[in-house]
Amino acid sequence: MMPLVQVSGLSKKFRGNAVVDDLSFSVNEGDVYGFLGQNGAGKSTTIRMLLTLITPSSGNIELFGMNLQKERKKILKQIGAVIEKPDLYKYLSGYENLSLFARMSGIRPVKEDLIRQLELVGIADRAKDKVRTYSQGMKQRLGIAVALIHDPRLIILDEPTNGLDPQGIADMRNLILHLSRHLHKTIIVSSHLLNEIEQISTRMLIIDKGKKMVEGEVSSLIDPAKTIVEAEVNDPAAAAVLVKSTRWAAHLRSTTPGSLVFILSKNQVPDLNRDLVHLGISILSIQAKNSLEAYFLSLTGSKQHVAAFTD
Amino acid sequence: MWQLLQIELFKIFRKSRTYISFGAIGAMVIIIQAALKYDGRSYIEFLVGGLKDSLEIPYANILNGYFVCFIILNLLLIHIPLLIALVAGDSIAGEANMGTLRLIVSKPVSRTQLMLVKFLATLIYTALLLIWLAFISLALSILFFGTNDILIARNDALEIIRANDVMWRYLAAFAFATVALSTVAALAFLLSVFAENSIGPIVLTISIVIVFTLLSEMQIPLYDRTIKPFLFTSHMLAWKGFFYTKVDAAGSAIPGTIENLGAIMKSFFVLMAYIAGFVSSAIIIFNRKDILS
Repeated sequence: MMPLVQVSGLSKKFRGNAVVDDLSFSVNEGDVYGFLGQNGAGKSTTIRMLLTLITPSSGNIELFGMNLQKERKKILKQIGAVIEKPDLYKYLSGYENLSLFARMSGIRPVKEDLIRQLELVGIADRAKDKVRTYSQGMKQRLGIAVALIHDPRLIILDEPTNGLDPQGIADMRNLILHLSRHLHKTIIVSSHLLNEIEQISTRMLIIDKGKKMVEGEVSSLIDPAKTIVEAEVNDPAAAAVLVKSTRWAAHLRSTTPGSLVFILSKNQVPDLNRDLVHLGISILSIQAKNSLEAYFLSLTGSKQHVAAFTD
Repeated sequence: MWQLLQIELFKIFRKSRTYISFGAIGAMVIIIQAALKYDGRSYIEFLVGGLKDSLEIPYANILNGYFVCFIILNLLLIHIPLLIALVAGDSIAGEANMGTLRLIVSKPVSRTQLMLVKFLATLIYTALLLIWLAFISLALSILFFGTNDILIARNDALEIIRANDVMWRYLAAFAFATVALSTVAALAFLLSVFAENSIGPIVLTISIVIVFTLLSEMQIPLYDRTIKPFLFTSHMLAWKGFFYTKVDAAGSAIPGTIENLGAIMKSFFVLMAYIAGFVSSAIIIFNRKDILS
């Protein structure tokens, strides 16, 4: 199956500094694709390149089997996006904003279409009010309505839960799941909030300092067979030297200032513990984490970049 | 294209800032009209200078609607660029500041088309502002002061244009003023591309117009030859040329004539070249710009 989004060797430099560095990934039809990275990792720059807001320094982007540079208009007709904050015309009403952006997207919706869209995101009762009177959550919902009004195949949401209260975050999560499961949309969601991505994504990409760390199925990334084990030790550098001469060397993922980080199956933890003691390493604590967050931190906390995660 | 233009005009005319210009012009015109209604004679005395001692000046005839409109245009057209900059300087920078620029640029519309539509909308705003000025300065002045021949002061001479030879000159003058003010709009539009806050391009446009106007008005021979012919501000006041007629052997104005149409046309083409240059530059720069706002 041809991917809906195919990015290869994408780079962007600002004044010589690489913000996105040789990034490649693909999104399949029907994916809820989590795009993860810490603040400044290059997520927004990548998304802006997908939307032609930023010109790549090098690399290639194909969407729906078409080259983005050559078929820009055709491609953008099939994309709906909320980029960072949902900034809209504050001096216009929600209804006017939606109508205006619908026409810019190349459609001529009738009043009922617009109202139905506002109902979908739950702000139809405030349709006639100026956007300047909306709460952050309502603006976010209106931004989603704007992204959806032309019935796009691909929806790109850049940090969609920013500034939302817990109820707003839950509503957004449910909306994304609704769009995916019931309307069969392909969705790219960028976030630095891992638990959000963990709950809604089917596949994901983790980037750090503009480089790809891993890409794969979320279920495999939180596979218990790939448990993150952090052993807090007295002298991590010396301990790492000792570990590298043992069978655990293949499992050692990184060395932090206070600990050694391994990736292994959870039932191997007692063996690891025993062998470290036998090596004469003073263990202060040993902790097994199998959440996506632990995995993410182990990757982005280390200096080395790992190869693509195998599904 | 038409749909995009409708959207741009809708956005411009839903902003309260847009109406500041219309309100300001309306207020200034009425203030001038009221002052001339109350004491127009003093103004005419000031205008004719020493001639009032050697000639019998028909003050009541001179102070008519056409004459008042001419005075208003002389006083106001130099200041209207400031009002034009308010909207033109906001066209791109205002969108960047609001955060809507990234949304409109990610829509299936080419950046060139987007820029052309935005500039076209700015031109329509400029034209409407001039039509408004024409309406209240000409129509209201005719209503309050009536019509008669118009007295034009040129250097040390006075020129009289017959009442039936005036209206077409005003139409031509307003059309030319639209082109002149569109040059200012194009400059503000270009500067707007560089900024993410509309204050910057508005203030910079006004500053450039003031500095260029001062240079245009300076009586320095070196600048007359080297700088002035190339400043757009030197050409913006060429609308006055429509009120300068050819004269016959007796020194009377010949109806339907323009003294130096060539100079007006030259100014027109210089201004058009400036507009084309500013707008083309804005489009090229915007097409290469990374939208980071």
